[in-house]
Amino acid sequence: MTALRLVQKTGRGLLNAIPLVIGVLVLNFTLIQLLPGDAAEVFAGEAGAATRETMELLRIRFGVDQPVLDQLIIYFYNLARLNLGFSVRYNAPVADLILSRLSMTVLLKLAALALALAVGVAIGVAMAVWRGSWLDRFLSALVLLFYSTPGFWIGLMLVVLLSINLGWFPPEGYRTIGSGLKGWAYAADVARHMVLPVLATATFFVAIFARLIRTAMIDISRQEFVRTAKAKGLTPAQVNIKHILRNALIPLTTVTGMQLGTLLGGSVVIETIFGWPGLGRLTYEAVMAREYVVLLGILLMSSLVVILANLLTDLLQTWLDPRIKA
Amino acid sequence: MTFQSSSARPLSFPLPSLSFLRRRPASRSGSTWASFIRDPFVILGFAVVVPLIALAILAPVLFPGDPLSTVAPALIPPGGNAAFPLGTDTLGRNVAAGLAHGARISLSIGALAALFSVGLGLAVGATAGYFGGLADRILVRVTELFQTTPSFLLAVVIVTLGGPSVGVIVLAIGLGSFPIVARLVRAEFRSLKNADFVMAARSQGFGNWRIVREEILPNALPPVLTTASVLMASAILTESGLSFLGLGDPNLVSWGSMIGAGREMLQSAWYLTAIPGGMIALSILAVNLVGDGLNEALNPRLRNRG
Amino acid sequence: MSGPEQKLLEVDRLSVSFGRRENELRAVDALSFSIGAGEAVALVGESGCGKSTTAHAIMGLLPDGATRQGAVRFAGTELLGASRRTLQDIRGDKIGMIFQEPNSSLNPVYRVGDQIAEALRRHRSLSRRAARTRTLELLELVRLPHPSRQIDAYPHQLSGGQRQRAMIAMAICCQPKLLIADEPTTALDATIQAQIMELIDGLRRELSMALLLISHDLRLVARWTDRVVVMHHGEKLEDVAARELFETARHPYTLGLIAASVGLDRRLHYRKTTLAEVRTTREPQGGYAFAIHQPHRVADLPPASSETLLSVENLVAEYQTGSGTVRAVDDVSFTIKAGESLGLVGESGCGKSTLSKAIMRLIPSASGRIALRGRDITRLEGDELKRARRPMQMVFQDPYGSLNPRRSVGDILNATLVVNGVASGAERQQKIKAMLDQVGLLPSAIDRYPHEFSGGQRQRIGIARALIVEPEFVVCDEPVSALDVSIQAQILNLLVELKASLGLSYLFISHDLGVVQYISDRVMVMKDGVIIEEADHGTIWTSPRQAYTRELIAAVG
Repeated sequence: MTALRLVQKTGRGLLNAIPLVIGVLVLNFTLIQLLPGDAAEVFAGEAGAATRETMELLRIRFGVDQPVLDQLIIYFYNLARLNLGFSVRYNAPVADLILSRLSMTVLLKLAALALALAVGVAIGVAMAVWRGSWLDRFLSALVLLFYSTPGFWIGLMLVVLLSINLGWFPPEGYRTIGSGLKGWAYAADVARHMVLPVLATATFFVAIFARLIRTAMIDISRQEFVRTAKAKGLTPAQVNIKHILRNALIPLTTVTGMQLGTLLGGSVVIETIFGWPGLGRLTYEAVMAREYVVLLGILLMSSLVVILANLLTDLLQTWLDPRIKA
Repeated sequence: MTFQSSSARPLSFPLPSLSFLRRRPASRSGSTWASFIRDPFVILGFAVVVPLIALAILAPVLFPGDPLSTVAPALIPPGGNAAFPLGTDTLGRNVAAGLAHGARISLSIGALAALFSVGLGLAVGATAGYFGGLADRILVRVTELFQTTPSFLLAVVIVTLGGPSVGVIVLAIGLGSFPIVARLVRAEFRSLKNADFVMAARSQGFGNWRIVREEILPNALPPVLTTASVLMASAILTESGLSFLGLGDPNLVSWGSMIGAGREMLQSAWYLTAIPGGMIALSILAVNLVGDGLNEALNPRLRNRG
Repeated sequence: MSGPEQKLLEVDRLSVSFGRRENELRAVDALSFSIGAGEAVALVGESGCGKSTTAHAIMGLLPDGATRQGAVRFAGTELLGASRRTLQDIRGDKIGMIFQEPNSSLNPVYRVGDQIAEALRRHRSLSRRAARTRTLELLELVRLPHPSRQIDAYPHQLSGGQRQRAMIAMAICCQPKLLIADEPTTALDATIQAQIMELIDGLRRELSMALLLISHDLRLVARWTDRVVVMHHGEKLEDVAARELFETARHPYTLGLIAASVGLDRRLHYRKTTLAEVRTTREPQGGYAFAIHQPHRVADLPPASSETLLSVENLVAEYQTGSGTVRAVDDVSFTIKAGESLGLVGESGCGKSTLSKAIMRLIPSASGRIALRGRDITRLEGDELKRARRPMQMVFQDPYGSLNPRRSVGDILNATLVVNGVASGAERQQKIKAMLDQVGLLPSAIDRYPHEFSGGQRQRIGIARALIVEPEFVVCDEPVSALDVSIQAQILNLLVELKASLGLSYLFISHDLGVVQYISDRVMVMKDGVIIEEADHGTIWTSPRQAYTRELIAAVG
């Protein structure tokens, strides 16, 4: 029954995602059209990097002399073959480049998201359960501070404090170069490098989640089924966790889904600061080198990742909330 | 996707809510405006925002000349020279002057971008929510598209393509954040257009424009106003990120670009990063405080109950 | 009579108040009553009289800000000062409780059976399996259809009546000594109401529980309890035997409520009599004075003419849901004569509201014809529709949702006049003042906002808005359903008075048979989008033709 519902939901979600994916592609294509020069130049990299012959070949392949609609079709055709263009600077196809960097970004973001969820939910629950107390007020002020302070600046200050002054964590990179570590030691080394960028990313989301959980739990605690739970004789802990928090997870999933784009976009600055070799860092490098083809490839891939992640959030939500129809 | 999933109670956006910091709920008697300006958090917020705006306006008077020009030896620490109370940076530029001129950029881009996304979001959300049907389906898809695209990345791309002028930056930030307003307004309009008082207006022959303007909009606007303050705060943040990456207008000094420049000297002169960052945090905090006061004053759950 | 030492529950000078000092609101004021083992007692009163607060005080479910005084003794245990642990052990075990809204009283994310088992396992050491077996027995006991299947259903998959059965199963799972039922049938249709009350009553006898029934409905409590405590403004006015409630009640407030109610058995009709109104006035030294006021019968009620005002032919209205098209109004035809009032009864979801909106052209009709004084208005649009529809106005159910909260009363009425082409400002002001006077509001209402008025006053504003454009025909969609009995009588009297003075015709929609009986010359019964029966008010209540109509009448009789 439930499994069937999830399968149906997946199917419908995929179906729903199709127009969105097409929209993302059209948006990307439009941005390409806005670029200086034609698509062949864009895809060949900076002027002068390709010979006349290859340029001619590219022009034919991209149908630059064709009407816009035909160009769009050719663009789709290229994408279908995972051809996002070629990066001269890295001497690699853009698709390969992005895929190789994607995993590093996902690692960092998932770690930050997990931390933010754990801490944010814990703070939110504490604020909701002891609302109006001094603890609530203190945590609220802290959360407001997290909410208002740019994550990248927190990152830089953490570098000053924990890295430069105390030397606890490395200020950048993702591993100690030339250490030759293997297995668990290598993982621990990467983890040590992750601490600061994860903290810098997580603060803002801790604030978002803590606030959301607090508001949602207080809202839910006024609902009638909570009164029923109390009338059954359940203890406050049982009421708070089994009945109130469980229902608060539903809006939490919605908002987490909505924040995934922010999370991914935010990696540009954080990864630049910490020299983390992910998509964000690649974006920065592409901006500096004016490698539009890489930039647009990243935008496209990130959008697709967000669509996929939203699909997963929807499934999670369907699982959490039996009222949602498949 | 998220846009369509029929979660039982749609939660638009986790707005900052400080209501819990208050000892008592905002006064129910008196006008919205009166309770708003008496709110201690709003007063605190304004106590920061007003001097910031004054600083932004008076920057050319207080610190005449180009804040990007070298005026003194490099790297004077704060308090090291009375003429430069906040010191100088690596190129001998006056940090205090930079902060003052940076306030102009941060606040104006923040306000303009918020205005842009509220305007666009209102138009899109109201049309989709009120008329429904095909217009709704198309606009929902477009909104969804911009919501799916990571907004900071979109801003980076647009500014890279369009060049780093104030207009392009406002457009880039606004395009990324209008979906929040559009969704909110659409949801409000969809529920309000079926409210009995709107039904009554329709049954009495009120035209569409009058219904939208006089019946729905006044009831839909309060949450939008609150959202506008959140958007302004996040626009300030985005702008600082863009200029930190070197995507700001190179001829104007901004807090983000000051952090970007100071970052090279993190080891020896951390204050070059800390000071402008602190200014960003302070202004976002203040905008959030004012916005929260607005939320409190306009929240129909706390008011309008006889 | 049993002595005080044998009482199961004793409430002794209980006072509950919210807020502090100048904002203090006393919800319950020195209330005393008791319930013997196995006895059924009702707390009855209008909204805000403190009856639910009393129930919550007994259960220890009051919100944190409430202050309590007095004593509540349950089976020898003092509940007001009891520790949280003691209260938690009593709740759900010794005292069970069910609530008004079965739709929101169950947790939406858990299966019904699991929620019942949770209560069982909280108080009895049962294995998962044993709890499930017991839950199944309980669901059979409350006669939930298909218990072995429904035990795994989520609340949203059950109907309102089924959810209430599940709630009852949960409340009685540990065989409590006392069952508190807070308006257990108010949210349900009349036919379901009777079934639920029969179930509660049967279980009470079977499990020898005491029952504390909280209700606003005098008829309901008279039928299902032994003793009735009448409350007003937190105070007990009288405590009478239920069987003789209608004969022995002595307090003017109780008498007033009885006189103001329009029960089907009272056979009241607007052409013969007005409804009595209870007048409550606050005395300077604090208490309340009550008086019964019987307005004079409106003398000149003209009989319905033979001229057809509105005719509806083969009307069909549909709406889309996720699973397809639902035909809410299915081939409906009827006419209303000038000066007539036509009643429309039906249970929730029968399509009566959709029909009213379709007639008002607020939602599109799929097919059929609506004609006002012979003119087809079904396909009119724009200004033509506006002009043609003007003689037709509507009064809505929800007095809170039908007025724009951000506009003053004067504004609301003024805008209506502007849209309908009253150009002169002075003329508008004059009309507004006259209209407010006619619906019984003071001229000072002009500058006030809807939230400053009570429910009944808001409904007067809604009526003023409908009547200010001088219509001939008014659709009243459940206009008194959200109101207390005493207010309901006032609004019904007002509608009759206005009908006479302005020569109005009504289409009066309600789920309440008594109200429809009072106000209608002719009655239609609607079920599943179809008008199944139509008859004169003289015959329909005494000799209904359809089984469904008889069922409806029996449920409230």
